[in-house]
Amino acid sequence: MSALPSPEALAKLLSNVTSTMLGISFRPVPSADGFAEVWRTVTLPIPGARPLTVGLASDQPSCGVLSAAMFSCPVEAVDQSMMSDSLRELTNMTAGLVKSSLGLDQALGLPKVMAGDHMPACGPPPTTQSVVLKAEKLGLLLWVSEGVAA
Amino acid sequence: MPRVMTVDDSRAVRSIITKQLAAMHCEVEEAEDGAQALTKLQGTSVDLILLDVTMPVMDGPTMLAQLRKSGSKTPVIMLTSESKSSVIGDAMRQGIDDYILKPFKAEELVDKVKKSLKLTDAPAAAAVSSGSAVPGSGQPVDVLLIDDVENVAKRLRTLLNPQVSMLGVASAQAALAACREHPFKVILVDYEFAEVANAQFVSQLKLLCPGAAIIAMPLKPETPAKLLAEVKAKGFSDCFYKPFSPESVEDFSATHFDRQDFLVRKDDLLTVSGFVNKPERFVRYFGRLEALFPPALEGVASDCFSDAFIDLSAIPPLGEIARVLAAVAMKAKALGVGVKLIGPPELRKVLNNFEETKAMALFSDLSKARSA
Repeated sequence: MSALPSPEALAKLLSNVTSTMLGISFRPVPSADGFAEVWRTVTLPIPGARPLTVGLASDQPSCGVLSAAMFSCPVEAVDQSMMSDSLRELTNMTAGLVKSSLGLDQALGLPKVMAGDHMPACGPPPTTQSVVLKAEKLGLLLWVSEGVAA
Repeated sequence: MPRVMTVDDSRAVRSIITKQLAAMHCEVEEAEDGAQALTKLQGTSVDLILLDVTMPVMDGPTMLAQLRKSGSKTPVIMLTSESKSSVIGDAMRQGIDDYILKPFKAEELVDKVKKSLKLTDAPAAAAVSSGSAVPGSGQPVDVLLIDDVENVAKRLRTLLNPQVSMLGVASAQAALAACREHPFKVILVDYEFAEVANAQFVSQLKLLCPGAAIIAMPLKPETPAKLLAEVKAKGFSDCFYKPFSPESVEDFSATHFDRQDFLVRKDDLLTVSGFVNKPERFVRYFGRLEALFPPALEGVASDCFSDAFIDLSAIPPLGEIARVLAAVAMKAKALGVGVKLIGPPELRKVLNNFEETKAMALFSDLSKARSA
């Protein structure tokens, strides 16, 4: 069984999504340089022979700016549902790339939005890979863990 | 006007698609899941359906099956993050025209939609490629210049190579309209023009032209580094200072429009293009090569080739190339990739002058290099 993607590889996958869709490139940073407060989290299960969960979290300002870019509108025009929708779609696209990078032929599940820092308890810490990413003032936390939360 | 339905549970994706298709003069109908799409299709007909796979209520494959069962032959393009082979395979068997994996570039979407709708481009390609772009033609354009002073566009046009196509606009609204019409390689934004020199406008440009380099055009300041940081904080990738000079425009052109020609990689073969400029530009030519080799070698390594074949047949055998190749040798060694050079015999003399390059293998042609 191949190892989970490294933090650097995860960062590349996510940045591939944001640069392709939004023209915004993220780079990995030490977790201590991350954002102050996780405001919204999306998790996406990939059930199957090797169940995985992909999670993406963001603070509110970052979520607002990314959503404005997704919807091509001013940040002031972004509402809560647009932010959830954008983060969900970024998670969905990233999960697709994570799955491909691991060579898994498993179907993606539906993304689920949670307020705050609700990282799923689906495996001990060694089976989780995570990375904090920044693009100027924007911050994201991406992780992949073995297992799917019940 | 072609009618297209986008079926996706993500409002953001529907919004992106709708904007891109509206720029192609398509009428767009939206549905957030398969069930809603089927209901809408009972009352209307469309020429193409862009269909997501994973959706709540009714997913894409289920909707596709029901659509085909009803006898509909409407072309369908799957647009999805789902790469599971059985899902794509089943969809193919049910008669999808094509599929696009997310994330996707606007150009890919536009190309596949055009192909599926059998749309052809307006006959303006020649005018676009030979200089000033024709607004509304839908053709890719090299440069969009946004400046409220008309003379700026005229001045740049006179200095740019005629092969570089360019469109000049004088307002934010006109710029956004142009971005909906054309994909641009570079967008130049007047930095003194408050309507466009802000992060929000840059975000909009990025969304409409995701592949474009968006560059600010300020007046050259006393402390460029400080200004560059400010400009980047607003989302610009770089600065291109006013007033333009022939040298600065040549630098700009070389950076954005010559890059692909300097070094072309095809699998394990890296072909270096010939030098076709003034002799005083040699340093820049070799400097650019030095910058392009590392990512090209990384590509060779990441595609699991054991050797990189570097074709230097077209370049002048000057000492500068040995410096470039010394860096290539170090990078290749770090990546675990072997290097075999192809070039004229006189290149050997140049290689022998430097410790780092004298051991490099040189062959007269590719077939000999491959068989060695």
